[in-house]
Amino acid sequence: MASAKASVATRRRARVNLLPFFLLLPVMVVFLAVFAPAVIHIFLQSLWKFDSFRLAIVRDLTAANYVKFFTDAYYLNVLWLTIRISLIVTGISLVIGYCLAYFIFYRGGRFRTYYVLILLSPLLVTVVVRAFGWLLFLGDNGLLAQFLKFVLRTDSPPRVIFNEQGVILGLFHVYLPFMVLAILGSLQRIDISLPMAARNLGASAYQAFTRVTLPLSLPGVFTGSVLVFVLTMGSFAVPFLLGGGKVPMIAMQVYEKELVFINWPFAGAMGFILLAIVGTVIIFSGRALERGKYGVVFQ
Amino acid sequence: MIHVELQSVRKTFGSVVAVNGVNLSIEKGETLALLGPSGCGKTTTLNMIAGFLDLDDGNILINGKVINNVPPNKRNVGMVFQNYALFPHLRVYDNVGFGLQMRKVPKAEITEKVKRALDMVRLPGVEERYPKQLSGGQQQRVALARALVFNPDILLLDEPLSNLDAKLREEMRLELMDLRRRLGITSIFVTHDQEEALVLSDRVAVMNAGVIEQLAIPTEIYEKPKTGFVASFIGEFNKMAGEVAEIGSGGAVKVKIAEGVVIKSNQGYGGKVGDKVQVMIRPERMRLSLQATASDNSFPVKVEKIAYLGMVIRYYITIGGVRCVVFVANRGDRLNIATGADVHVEWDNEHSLIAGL
Repeated sequence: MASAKASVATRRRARVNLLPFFLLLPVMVVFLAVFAPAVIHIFLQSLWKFDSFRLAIVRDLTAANYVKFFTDAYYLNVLWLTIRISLIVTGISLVIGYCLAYFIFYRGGRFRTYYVLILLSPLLVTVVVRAFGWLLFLGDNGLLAQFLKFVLRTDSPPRVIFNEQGVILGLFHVYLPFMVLAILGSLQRIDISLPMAARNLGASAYQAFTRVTLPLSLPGVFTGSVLVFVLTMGSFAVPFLLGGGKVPMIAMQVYEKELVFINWPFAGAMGFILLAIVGTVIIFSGRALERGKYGVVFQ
Repeated sequence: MIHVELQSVRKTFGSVVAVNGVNLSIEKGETLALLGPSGCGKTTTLNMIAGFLDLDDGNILINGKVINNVPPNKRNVGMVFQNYALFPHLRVYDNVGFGLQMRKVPKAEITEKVKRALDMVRLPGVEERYPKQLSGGQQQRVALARALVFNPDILLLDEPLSNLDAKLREEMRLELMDLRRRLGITSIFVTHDQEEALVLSDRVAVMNAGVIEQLAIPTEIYEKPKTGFVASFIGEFNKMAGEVAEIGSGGAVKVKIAEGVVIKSNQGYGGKVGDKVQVMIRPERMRLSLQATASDNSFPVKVEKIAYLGMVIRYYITIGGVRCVVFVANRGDRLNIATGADVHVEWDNEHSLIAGL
C-alpha cells in the first residue's frame, strides 16, 4: 500500500518534471540539428590555416588565428573599442532607460500602455532604416547641421556622425527599448506597498528608492544591461552605417574578413573570441551579483 | 486627551467619492477599529492618516497639530500592512531596524532595540533570516516588531489578521490584545471582520459608502445598531416588516407582522400608529421550547430545517410568513427537536428592535 502510494508519487513527480523538457524539445532539435553543427564547424575552421596567396583554407590544426588576434595591436584596439563602446552604450541606456521605465511605471497612470507602445514603435522599423534616419538628421546636409550652421554662423559645424559618438548614439537608440522593457518588468514585480512601508518607517522618497525600489529592481537592471551589452558587442549595421568607416567594431571586422578577404578561419576565430568574452561577462557578472549584498533578490 | 483627530475628511478618486466627510477623535491609548465592507473607504482613511494619500478636504490632526502636509516619513506613525510589506531583500534584522536606521540611531542601540522588539513579539533569534524563510504568522510578528521598534506615536494596522489561517488568527488576536494592553499605544486598525473589530477595539467605527454610520463601543454596536446598514453588517438579524399597531407608555410598542402575529417591544418608537416599520431580532436572543410559556413574545412554529454547526445549532422557522433563524447554543443537553417538529419560538420585549423603513 505504502509502496503503491510512493510509486504514484514518483510517477506524478516524473510527469511534472518532463513537461518543461517537452516544451523545450522543438527548439532543442532545431539547435542541435542546425545550429550546433554550424557552430562546431566554424570553431574547427578557426583552428585551421588560411593560405593568403592561394586564398584557400589549409586544414592544419593551429592556434595561429587566436595568437594573431591577441598579439596584433590593430585587433586588440578593435577589441578594446568594441568593449568600450558597448560599456558606454550600456551605461547610457541604463541611466536613461531606468529613468524612463520608472517614469512609465510610477507616473504613467492610465497612459502606461501607450508609453510602452511609443517606446516599442521604433522596433517596427529595421535597424538599417533607423540608421538612415539618423543619417538624414545628422548628416553633413542634415537638419542638425543646417541648424548649427545657422546658429553658429560657420560652414563646418561640429559633427556628431561618422565617428564614435554617432555610433554610440545610434546603438543607444536601437537598444534602449530592451533596457526599458527589462527594468519595467522588474519594477512591475515590486509590491507597491514596499516603498510605502519604507516611507512610513522614515525614509525620504530618495531613500525609499535607493534602499528598496532600486535593489529590488536589480534583476531587471542586470537583464537589461546584459541584453544591451551583448547586442552592442555584436552590432554590425549601426557602426557600419554611422561610423563612417572610422569605428571598426569587431562584428564589422568579422564581416570584412569573411566576405572581403575570404579569410574564414580568422573570421571564425574572431567570432569565437566575441562569443567567449560575452559568455564570460554574462556568467561572471551574474555570479558577482548573486553573491553581492542584495544577492537574495536574484534567487 | 484627544490624540488623533479627523475633521470632515474627504477624498475622491475621479468621480468616485471614497471618503465623504469623516469626523473622528481618538483618545490617547485608545484602539479604534474602522469596520466595513470593501470599498467603504476604511483603507483610504487609514492611508490618509499614514500620509500616503492627500486629502481633498478637511484636516487630520495628531496631538492637536494639523499634519495634512507632513510627508509620511515625518509623521512617526507605525504601520502594519495587510501583506506585511516586509522588504524581501533585507534580513529580519534590517527589516526591523529600518526605521531606526532612517532615524540615524547608533548601531549598537539598533541591535539592542531590534532584539527587544523581536522578544516582544515572541520571535527571538530570527535576525539573520530573510522574510521568505518565515511562515505567515512569523512574518506578521516581524511586521509588528518593525512598526513598533521606533516608538511611533500611533500604530496603524491594515487588515492585520486577514492573511492568517483561522487557528493562527485566533492566536494572533489574543496576542494583539495582550500587546495592546502592555504598550498602551494609540492604534487604529482597518478590518472587514466584525469579530476582530469587536474583540480588539475600544471603539468601533462602522463605515459604509465613505461615511461613518455608527461610532460606539463594541457592545453598543452589537446591541443597539443605529442604522439598518450596521444592523445587517454586524452579526445576523431576523427582520420582519410590519405596521405599528399600538404605542403605549414606557417605550411599549406593538407591531403587526401578519394576521394574528403581533410582536411586542419595549424599545420605543418615535413615529405614529400605522407606520410601516421593521422589527429586528437577533437569532441568539430567540428561544425554542416544546410548550408555550408566558414570554412577552411567543408563537407556535414548525421547524423547517436544522443546521448543526457544532458549537451552535441553527433552526429555521417561519413567523408570519417570514423566514427566521434561531441560534441555540450546543450545551450538550440535546434539545429533542427534529425537522418538522411543532415548537414555540419566544423572546423578550427588549430584544425586539424597531427601525423605520
